[in-house]
Amino acid sequence: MNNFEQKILNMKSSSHPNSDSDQFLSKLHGRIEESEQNKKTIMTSFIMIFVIGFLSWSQLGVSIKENIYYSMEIEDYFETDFWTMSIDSLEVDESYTEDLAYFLLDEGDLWEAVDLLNEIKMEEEISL
Amino acid sequence: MQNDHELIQDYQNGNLSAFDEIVRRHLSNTIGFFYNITRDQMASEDLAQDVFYKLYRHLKKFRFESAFTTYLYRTNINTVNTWLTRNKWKNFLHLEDAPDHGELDTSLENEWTRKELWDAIAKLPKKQRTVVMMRIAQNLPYKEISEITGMSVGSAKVNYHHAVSSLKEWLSDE
Repeated sequence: MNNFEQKILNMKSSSHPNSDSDQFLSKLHGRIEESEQNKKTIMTSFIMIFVIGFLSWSQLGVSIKENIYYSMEIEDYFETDFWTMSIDSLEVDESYTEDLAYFLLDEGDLWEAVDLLNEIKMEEEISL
Repeated sequence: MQNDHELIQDYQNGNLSAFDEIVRRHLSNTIGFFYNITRDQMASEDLAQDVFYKLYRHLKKFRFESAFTTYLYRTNINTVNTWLTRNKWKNFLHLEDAPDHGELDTSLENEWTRKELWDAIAKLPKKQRTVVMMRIAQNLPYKEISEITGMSVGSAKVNYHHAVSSLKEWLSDE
């Protein structure tokens, strides 16, 4: 062993500051806990990204359907507007008029019931 | 008193206090190893934290094929190699001052400082650096160095000889 080599080996410190093992362990456990927490957060983030990515990807191949939620027709469904009204809103079916007539009779309005029936009969004749 | 392998076995079976016992048993030696290199207590403790954190993660897969100390020294060497490389880049880029482990040692007749020595060691090829660090900081015999590094005893001696020659040349020039 030459002089230079001996000098290098002499550089080894004979003593070093003591470290508190309990404090060291406490720091170490803190670090481990933090790391576990980070791992969980990363896993959750990856799962969320995967799920969102999968859902987005699964929609890519789907053909675009034209789901029209509004009417392209100009005509009204029930023809209730003033210009296109072709029938009177009073024009109702036979059973309705009969019910109405029976109601008026029950109420004692005999002449009202007669008028109603006459009116309906007149309207039918006009429309014919 | 349980030996290292028994403690590791306990740890693998879920006994976390066995891991704490391993840390307590090897803490002083590990910090001493890093202190010899860094001459900085904070840095030594940080490096020791890195080592035991790695052990916490990897000891669960320990296969009991070698002594625990061999495994520990290998982890120490890998950790300090990373630290030296990082410091080398920091010095090169002047991002921050390197930890000052450069106080003059009177026993060295002020020829060169510890910092200069470790800066020179950091420049050595990895195999040579590993052998030198184990010889200087841990004072390990060649046989043990060969077990830790996986190289033969002869190869360890040759690497050490080349490393010392290079260091002598570099430090004499300065």
